[in-house]
Amino acid sequence: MIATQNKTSAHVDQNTFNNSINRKKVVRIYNGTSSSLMHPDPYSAPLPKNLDVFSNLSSKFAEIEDENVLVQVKRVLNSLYLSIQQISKLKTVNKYLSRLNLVQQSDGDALLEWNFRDFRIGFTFEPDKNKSSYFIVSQDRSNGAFFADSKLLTDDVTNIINNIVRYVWENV
Amino acid sequence: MMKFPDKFIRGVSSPNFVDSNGRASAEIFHFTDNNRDDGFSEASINWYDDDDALTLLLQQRKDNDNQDYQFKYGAAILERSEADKIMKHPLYCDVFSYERSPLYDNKYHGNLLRKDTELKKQYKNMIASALAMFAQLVPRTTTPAK
Repeated sequence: MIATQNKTSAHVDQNTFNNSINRKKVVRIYNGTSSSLMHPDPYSAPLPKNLDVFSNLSSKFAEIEDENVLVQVKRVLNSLYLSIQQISKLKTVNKYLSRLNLVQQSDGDALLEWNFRDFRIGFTFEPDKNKSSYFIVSQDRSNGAFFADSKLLTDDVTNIINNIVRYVWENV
Repeated sequence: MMKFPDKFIRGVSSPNFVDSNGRASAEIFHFTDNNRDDGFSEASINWYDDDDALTLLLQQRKDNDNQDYQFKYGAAILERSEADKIMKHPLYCDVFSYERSPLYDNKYHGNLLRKDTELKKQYKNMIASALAMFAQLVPRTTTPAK
């Protein structure tokens, strides 16, 4: 399934992830915090504005036609929130993360996009959760390589999201 | 053998096709099933043979009473070499392609082609997302770069 494995490969394992988050770095805290309406966990502290990838998402929930799809979307958003919150406590937070984009597609599925300059992560939510999946496409401008891979979104959402957030953190 | 220029253009007809970061959404590359014999779905493009290809696309009007611009939010320009990268990817070599398909009033017209009947949804979205990643957005108000 993997055509071109390059330095921006999406393949990350749990050890790498753990090592990465355990690395001690200087933490520069941003004063500004978000007042976004959309927090998957309403009891949690808001994320700094530069990490609040959830801005403007709440209005998109109403467009999701299928309840099963919406449940899956919220589950992934909740994991994303917790993962970003966790990693932001341990690492430098002077990065700006792109806002998520939620799209109701014409066939009843939903697409959650996380778009960056040289890579994109997407979640395809289908009414049958066993068919829902996630993917990454990326380009390496230094050598023109193109990378694409996709996997089913299994029940191990927390681990999947942690790996994705780590990948984003290291490549943004 | 059919010749293609280095670039092609896809019109942007909805504000939803640009995300809140100002980047092209995968939704720009929505493919339509037109019941082709070869099973491919189509996404209309203009081949960038010359600057008139972009001018023509941006001047295109809807067939409604107001005759609004068809592509009110500008255009996305892509290098053909980027589409070739997708085409050469092992996942997509037989299910993604492109063609010229001139119309009586648009000699630049062509199609991106995706064989949706043979693709799971995740791979359809991946192709659209990859195309969007490669896209350079040209808002209607700016002069397009050649």
